[in-house]
Amino acid sequence: MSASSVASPPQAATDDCVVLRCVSWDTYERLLADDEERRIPRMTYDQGVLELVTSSTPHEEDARVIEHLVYIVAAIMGVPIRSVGATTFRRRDLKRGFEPDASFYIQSEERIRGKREVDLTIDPPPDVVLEMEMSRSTINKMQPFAGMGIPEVWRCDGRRVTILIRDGDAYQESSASAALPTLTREALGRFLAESRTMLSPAWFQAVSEWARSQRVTND
Amino acid sequence: MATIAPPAEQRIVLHDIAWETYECLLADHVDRSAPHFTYDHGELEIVTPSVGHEEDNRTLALLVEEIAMEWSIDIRDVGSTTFKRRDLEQGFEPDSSFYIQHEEHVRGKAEIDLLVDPPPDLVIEIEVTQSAIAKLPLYARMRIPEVWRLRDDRVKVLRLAGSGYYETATSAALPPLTSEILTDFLQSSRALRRTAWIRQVREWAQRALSS
Repeated sequence: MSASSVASPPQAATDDCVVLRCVSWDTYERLLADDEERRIPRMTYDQGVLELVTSSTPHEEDARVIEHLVYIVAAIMGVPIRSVGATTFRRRDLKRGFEPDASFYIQSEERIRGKREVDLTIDPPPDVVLEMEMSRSTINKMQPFAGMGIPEVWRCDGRRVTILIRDGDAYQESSASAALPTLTREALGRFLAESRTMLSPAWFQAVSEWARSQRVTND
Repeated sequence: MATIAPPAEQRIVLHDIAWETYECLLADHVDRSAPHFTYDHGELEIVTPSVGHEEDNRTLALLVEEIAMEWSIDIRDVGSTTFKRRDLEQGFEPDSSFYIQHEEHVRGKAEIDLLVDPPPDLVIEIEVTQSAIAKLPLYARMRIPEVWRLRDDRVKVLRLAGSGYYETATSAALPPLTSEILTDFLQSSRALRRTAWIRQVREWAQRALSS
């Protein structure tokens, strides 16, 4: 077991997942439009296959922890970012769409600065997408992610975070983020684990101190 | 050793879904049997049944077929047909459904339209997990006369009266079948080999006919 694993993982997630085949793009867009406030279920569309997944509390909470972590580290490093959460990213021309558990513009932040809405036909895709892996998801998301040009994907199973960097049509595992190199697989796993045992002010302190120490070493 | 767990029932609920979106989904999915869609005034529930769910459903449907055969009753097994009424903003797909008393009304019809055709005489509902949309009020609005509901390994026979259902011992769709006999046959189907089980169902049907 690596240091990035958690002693007691959260209760088995009870996410439900339904896959519909042969769903047209228009039906998918109608579903998105009917309930604009929807957060659950999360929808992924991949060339006619529509997957709907509910997310349980531990799943949601872990995604929020990772968002905070990115925010704190980026702020201390002086890197402007945008955390765009579970935005629906879709490309009609590719017949693909997805809603990540979290997503970030880091390198491309400037290109969407001030924009309230992101349109992937003209705007760049997010630099990092977070996928929680506790659900019973059956669609292989890596192919749509590669097809939509997502440079980096973090997959989290509730214990470990795997960092995947795009290399053409596929992703290669990496020990550190390319978008925010301070963040390593080890750091992501460790701070996720600590978020479960530490009170939030102490966790915030620990992350901030660690990030500052990283800044010094990098200088 | 890790074993592969059978897929559990999966349930998704969407809110504020327009009738047109529901119809688009149904049209996209014309040729599938699962998952099942239930629509009630903007609420859309999508359920993928588990293996156990489907198996109990098939067993009860087979029992209906076998008994009707023994009793020389012409029935139409319309399975998980989509029953919908735009005027009521409601639609559902039962686990199984049959025309028995009204078989003649729908004989030879490729499509059933509840605005002109009668509702099915019997609907079978297997309840593994709690449904997000209450099914009985929906069945009542569509005037389904009888529902067999399987819950906690017991079959209940429910008859429509006014705007609701009451529990009854004997089926009116297929008398003199009772909820007790249905429950017994369902439970014995798990222990017996299929051929032996079908033989018992047929023997019971023959005895019921002669008494």
